[in-house]
Amino acid sequence: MPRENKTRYAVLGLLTYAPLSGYDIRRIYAQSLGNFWNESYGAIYPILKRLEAEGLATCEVERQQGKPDRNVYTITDLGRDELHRWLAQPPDPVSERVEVLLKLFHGWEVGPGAMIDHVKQTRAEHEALLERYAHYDEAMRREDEPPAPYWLMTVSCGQHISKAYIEWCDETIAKLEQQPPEARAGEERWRPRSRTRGGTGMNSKDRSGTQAFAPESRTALVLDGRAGDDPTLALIHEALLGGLAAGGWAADDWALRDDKIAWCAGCFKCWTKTPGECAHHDGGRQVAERWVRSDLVVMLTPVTFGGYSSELKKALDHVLPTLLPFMQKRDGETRHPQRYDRTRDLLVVGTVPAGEADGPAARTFRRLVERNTLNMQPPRWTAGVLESGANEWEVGVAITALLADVGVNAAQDTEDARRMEVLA
Amino acid sequence: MRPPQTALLLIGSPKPGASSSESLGAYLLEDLEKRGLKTQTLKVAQAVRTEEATQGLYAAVAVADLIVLSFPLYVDSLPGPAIRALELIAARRAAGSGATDASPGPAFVAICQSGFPDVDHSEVALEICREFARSAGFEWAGGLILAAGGMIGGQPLAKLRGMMRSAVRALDLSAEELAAGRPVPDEAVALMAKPAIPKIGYRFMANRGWRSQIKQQGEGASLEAQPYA
Repeated sequence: MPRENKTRYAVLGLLTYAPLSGYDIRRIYAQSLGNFWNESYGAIYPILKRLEAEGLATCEVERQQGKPDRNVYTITDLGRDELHRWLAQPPDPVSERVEVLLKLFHGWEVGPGAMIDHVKQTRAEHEALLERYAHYDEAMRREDEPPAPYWLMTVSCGQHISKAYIEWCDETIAKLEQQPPEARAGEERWRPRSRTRGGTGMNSKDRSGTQAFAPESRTALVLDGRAGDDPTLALIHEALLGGLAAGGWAADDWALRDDKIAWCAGCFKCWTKTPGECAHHDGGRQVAERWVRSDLVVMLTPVTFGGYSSELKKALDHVLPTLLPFMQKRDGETRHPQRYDRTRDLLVVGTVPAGEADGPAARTFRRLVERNTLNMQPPRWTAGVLESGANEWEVGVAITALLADVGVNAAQDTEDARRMEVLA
Repeated sequence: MRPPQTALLLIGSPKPGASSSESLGAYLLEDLEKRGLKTQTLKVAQAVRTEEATQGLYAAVAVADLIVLSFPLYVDSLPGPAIRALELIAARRAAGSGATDASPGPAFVAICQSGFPDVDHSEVALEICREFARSAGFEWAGGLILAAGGMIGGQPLAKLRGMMRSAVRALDLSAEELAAGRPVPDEAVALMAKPAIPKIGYRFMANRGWRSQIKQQGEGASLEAQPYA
């Protein structure tokens, strides 16, 4: 979970104000830090558990009359030292994901109408944010708390950003209104290279194909790399399928051990003789097709010497045809370009023996996933390592958080959400 | 690590014919043989295919003082059959079936070659090999990474001496140390990682090579086809 390490400091910081339960933290978080440091719903509870395990916070059970017990967390001296150490470090460079800009960048594909709506929506959101910030500003100025000036500085940043966005929205709406109204206007004057170089006739289907895999179809290819009975991976598998269903996703669930998939022989015919397709007719040929047709690839595997199981790898080696043979320098390394314009999100879950979640194999596993993402270029990705023997609740919380990292909202069920709070 | 008497080369390439991984491993093994070691070679894709072949793999591992795994990089890691072989070997060791399997493990060396001209791609694969050695109770004796492995093209290294002189020197040094019961030296690691030609030149040649292959298939063929679009 990429942001967990930083979010732990968000949680530690809140604990400096008072002893708090997971529910308290979520509530306060949503009204303060959540304005500039997003975190998925389920991530806070595992962080609290980890802070407790590391001695950075203590936990006490508070009995309540007629209500479930509350776990109340208090920061320790060690926790405060850790927070201070982090506060002294320089922050990471700013990196943003602004979907309206992503849509606008590709807006030519559909014309200005939809883009104007999106920008108007963005403007309305920032108007609402400004109202919210004004409320915070007023409320904080009334407080005579020593940290209030610091809180106000973060509010001021939000106000500046929202004001700038509103100005940009007005300017952009005016520009969009001057654009030709049709989609792909001026296409006859400019054709992207990939649409004109085909020769096999395949590329002529490009546009309809792209539409067929539009995000609303939302299919997750689940590559199940279990070799045999593995109770923890079985729980993970179940939680993944349940979470995907709860988030409204279709699962293309593939138990790899049940299919005949020959080892990739490294013949490179999928690059030269049958470009884009494995030349051998067995389960391996399906890998690239099901991969390309998915919006999210989920891989689950026992962490095997820090890597993937051979069951998973026998399928993964067949993704080669989703790349082009050419070599390009990108980010200082040589890589193969993607064969298709659209890439898919990636979620990888592995299991390690109990007590080894931070061991060398788990670290290598995370590095391997990161290396994969450099070559596969998923828009979003996440990786998790769970210990064998994790119970249903621990698996559920972890998988919900991982799915949230790739945009799958698996915690839609209010009963489940309530249960998670009570359990925390 | 004691000076080994026997060495086993595991060829991790799934290719049925000659491979660059085999070229590298075979050169090292021949060098070790010249230094008096008794050697054996197995292709892992064949060794994991049948129960009988797997028994042969176990037997070969059981008598080896030094195991060399030479493999190509597949999707940032080892190829599927190489992982399968390592899984089987580690499980066999963990089960401790037979006195031989319970004995101190052999030394383990890995050679990874990739088609990329950068060595960084292969570092995680070597970490995986090292972790395997730890899991199986083998003694990690180091790893070598060769970039731009496509230049070997499955030919014997002796034939390519000029172009591959750094790699050859790295293997010579490694053989000398391994035969004496010492791990792969840092100098060999650095020599093996040294690019045979500038990266930009390698990329240019590789791209030209792919384009010329598709040209041979006549008009209408495209390397950029999108069959699943």
